[in-house]
Amino acid sequence: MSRWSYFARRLVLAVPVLLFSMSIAFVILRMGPIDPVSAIVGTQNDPAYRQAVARSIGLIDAQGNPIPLWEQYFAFMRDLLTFDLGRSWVISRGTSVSELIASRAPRTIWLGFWSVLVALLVGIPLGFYAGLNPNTFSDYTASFGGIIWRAMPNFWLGIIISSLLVASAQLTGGAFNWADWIVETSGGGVTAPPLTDLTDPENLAIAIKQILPAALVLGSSSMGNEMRIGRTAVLETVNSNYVETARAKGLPERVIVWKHIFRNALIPLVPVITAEAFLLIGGSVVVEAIFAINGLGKLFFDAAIQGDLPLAGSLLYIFVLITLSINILQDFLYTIIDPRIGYD
Amino acid sequence: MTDSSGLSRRRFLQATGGAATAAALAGCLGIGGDGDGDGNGNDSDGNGTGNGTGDGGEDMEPQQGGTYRKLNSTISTFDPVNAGDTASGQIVQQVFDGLTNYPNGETQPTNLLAESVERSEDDTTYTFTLKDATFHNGNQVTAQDFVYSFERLARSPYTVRAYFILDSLGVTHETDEDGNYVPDSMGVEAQDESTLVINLDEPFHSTLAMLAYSSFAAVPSDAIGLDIDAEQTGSGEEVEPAPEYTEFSENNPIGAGPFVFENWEKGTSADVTRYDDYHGQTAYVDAVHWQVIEDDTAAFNYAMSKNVDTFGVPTPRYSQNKIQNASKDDAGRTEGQYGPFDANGETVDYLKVPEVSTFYFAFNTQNVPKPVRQAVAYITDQESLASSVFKSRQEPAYHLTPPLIYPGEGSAYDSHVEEAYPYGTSSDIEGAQQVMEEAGYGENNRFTMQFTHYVSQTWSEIAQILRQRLSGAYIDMNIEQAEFATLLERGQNGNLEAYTLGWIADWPAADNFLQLINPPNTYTGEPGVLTYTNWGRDEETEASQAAAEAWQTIQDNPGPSEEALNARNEAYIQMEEANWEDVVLVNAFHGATERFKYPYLHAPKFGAMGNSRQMYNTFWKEQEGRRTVTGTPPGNSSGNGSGQ
Repeated sequence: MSRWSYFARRLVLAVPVLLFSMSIAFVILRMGPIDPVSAIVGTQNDPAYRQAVARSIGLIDAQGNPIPLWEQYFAFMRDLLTFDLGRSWVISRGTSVSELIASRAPRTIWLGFWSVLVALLVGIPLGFYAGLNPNTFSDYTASFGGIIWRAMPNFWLGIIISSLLVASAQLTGGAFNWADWIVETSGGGVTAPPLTDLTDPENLAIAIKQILPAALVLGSSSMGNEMRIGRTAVLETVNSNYVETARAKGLPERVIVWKHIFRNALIPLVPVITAEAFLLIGGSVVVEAIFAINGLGKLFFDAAIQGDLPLAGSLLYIFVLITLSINILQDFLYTIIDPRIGYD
Repeated sequence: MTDSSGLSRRRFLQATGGAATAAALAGCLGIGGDGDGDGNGNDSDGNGTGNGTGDGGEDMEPQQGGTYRKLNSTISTFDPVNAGDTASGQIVQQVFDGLTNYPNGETQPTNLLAESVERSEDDTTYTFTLKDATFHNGNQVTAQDFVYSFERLARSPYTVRAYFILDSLGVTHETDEDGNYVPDSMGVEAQDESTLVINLDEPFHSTLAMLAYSSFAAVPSDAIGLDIDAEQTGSGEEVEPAPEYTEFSENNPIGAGPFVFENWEKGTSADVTRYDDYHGQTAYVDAVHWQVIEDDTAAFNYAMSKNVDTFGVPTPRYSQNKIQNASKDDAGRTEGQYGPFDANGETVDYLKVPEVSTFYFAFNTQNVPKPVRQAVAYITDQESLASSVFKSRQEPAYHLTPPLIYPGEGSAYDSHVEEAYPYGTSSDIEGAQQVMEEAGYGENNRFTMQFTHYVSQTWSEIAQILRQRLSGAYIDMNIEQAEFATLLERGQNGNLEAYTLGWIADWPAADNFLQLINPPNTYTGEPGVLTYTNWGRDEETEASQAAAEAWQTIQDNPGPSEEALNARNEAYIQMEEANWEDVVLVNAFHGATERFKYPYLHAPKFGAMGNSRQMYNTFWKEQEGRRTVTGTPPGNSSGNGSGQ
């Protein structure tokens, strides 16, 4: 099978996955215990107002008869598939969903970008180093550290890091104050950085410094993961026949490591990294809450618990689309890194 | 007017979306809306108490400059008639002015845009003379603007408080055959540029207090530039706000308040700046910045690095031992210092203000028999619940009416509890067992009850304590949590047995609370239901009759005269006692709000109407030693105080 027909098949197979996941989303959101009308009317529980609200969000028709669920379902699917994302029901009533997403997305992407980068830049080199020097003191330190990072839950680590940074001046007797360090930012990495005019080095520095604590927390478990898997992968390749052959040929160690070990050890890391790339968009409800970064994760959480079907549905739709495309991209990357992987 | 449509004068605790009030009780106490007094200067009209309360810096002259920075929860709109939540409301309060206002958030309203007010003989016509004031766009505030603003309040497609003016205040108006308000039929008229006349259906004792609501604020009649009905375009499913309306409600709200709207970054922050031509005390601070942080820990950490000037402390981080030099004033407010904080070593100014709110356990009397309800009242120890769950940050409640508005105030409240509360102020397990045994319950005949509370850590703890104590009184309590909206819906349909909710005053008078236990207002499935208890619905009890009669007395004496007041006061107490007899509601707590503020900020104490009704024009910051404070989030400076 050629590469292109393989992709065509992957794309076609993605369609039922997409439809299925959106149907599940509809069922969970719409048939769950939360009544959107009650969530909208809240304190103003007037029957006439309830009717008006129910009509305006398409739950009953002009005559006051309920619109059957299957009709609502088809309207929901049709709107999503045509990218007519609609308007928020509850969270920001009347605001278009695309506007809400556009206003929240930049900080989530900025957070996700740095958390993936932190994980990549710290986790993989450490893992490779540990793998190349197995059973030494530094290997044990790195491996143990990896397990610890992996094990610390975000909700705990976030609070601890942010509280430590806030109290940094108090704890060090004034020697180190995170808020004033390099550039002035709010203490403890709380709140999203201003993402305006990042070409100005100072703005860029503020934006990076401000997001780092949150990115470290969000990337912590990935970092541990990548470290552990990187170490195992290197250990496996180091002991393989072709490395031995290369060594027997008298290749310099540097070439062996970079050309033979590094490339092959990356293969098992690809799915780990691409899976984490989802953090880019999906963000993390917990981390966004702890660091008061009001991004997509928090938006989705609020929408879901308040029965804001268009908003939660649209976000889910986008998340699913991104996950699917990342999966396809991952298969594509596989075939480039390792030509032995076939298309069947 | 209070009972007719059934929908009047009510407001459940926890507003839509914002949820600042309920969140406050859920353990963070005022993070979302940390309080500050408003102290609006009534210097020009000389009819109010306005600026009186001290601010701790008695011997210092107020200084100009700086930004007052505080926390907020999610803001939804700046349209006064659409802002139903306290998060939006406190910004509306800065940008818009109404006829009257609660100075410092205290319960006695004073004139704001009104220069003077005259009441007719029969108490139904109010004539206001307006002050010489301008809107932020430079136009004069006229009576015509108020007519327009009140018309918007009654029938804008976006109003959420139409019942305030049509039912609660009861301004004369016409309705069509469906009971809908007929446009432009309201009894509000502009006699000339500066004279406004308001006609009421019948006398109402809290008219001036009602008008102090930010929903009644003046909006310039050309602010939106559209006919009121045209604020919404389209029909059916495709309804959307007109662009002109969105421009007004989100980007450019124009009012006559002490601050001009500057900027709103949705979900992140909002800014306003000083209005130099303000009709009252021009603000000392240059600007106000609200940072939106909803997570307690994040908000606390943010405050600890001095990114805000006033804040709240989440209960887990709160320790009673850190309160120093506490003293109580006449209004029951506790003042002192709190600290030092572990995180930054600072000691801050502390203020605790009792609020006009009550939280209660309620029972559907159709499902939960009286002995069981009485048993719950016996075992409930309000005092120890308040201290163990809330670390004494909330006040125990025995009456539905909070002490500040109880007839005779706090002392009468306490003595009435001491004399007449039948269930004792401590947990009385024997009393509970006895009342259950008399009704035929026992070890082999236990009663099972479903208790539903809204999702909150604190209520969950309270429910556990209750369950444990009740099991000794032959009652098995199942605990269930429900989202607020779900809880209300189930209550309305009569699908609750025992549940918990709260009530915050719409206007500071006892009838606002006691309407909750007017028996017809407790019938589930009816449009006017306020508590889901069905009191006396199947079979009237002596107490439910007494309550209904007392409510009638209140209805018959709505006016502001002394005589009517006495009749109402007597009826209020009858209703409280009727509730004690039948235990429809077990009152648990009266809310309190705490404010923690860095000492370099000088702000008057606020009153019982709470922090969301304050204006910041009398706040000022000590300038010396203060680093630059900008309004931009959040890479701004940490705004170091000089107070220490």
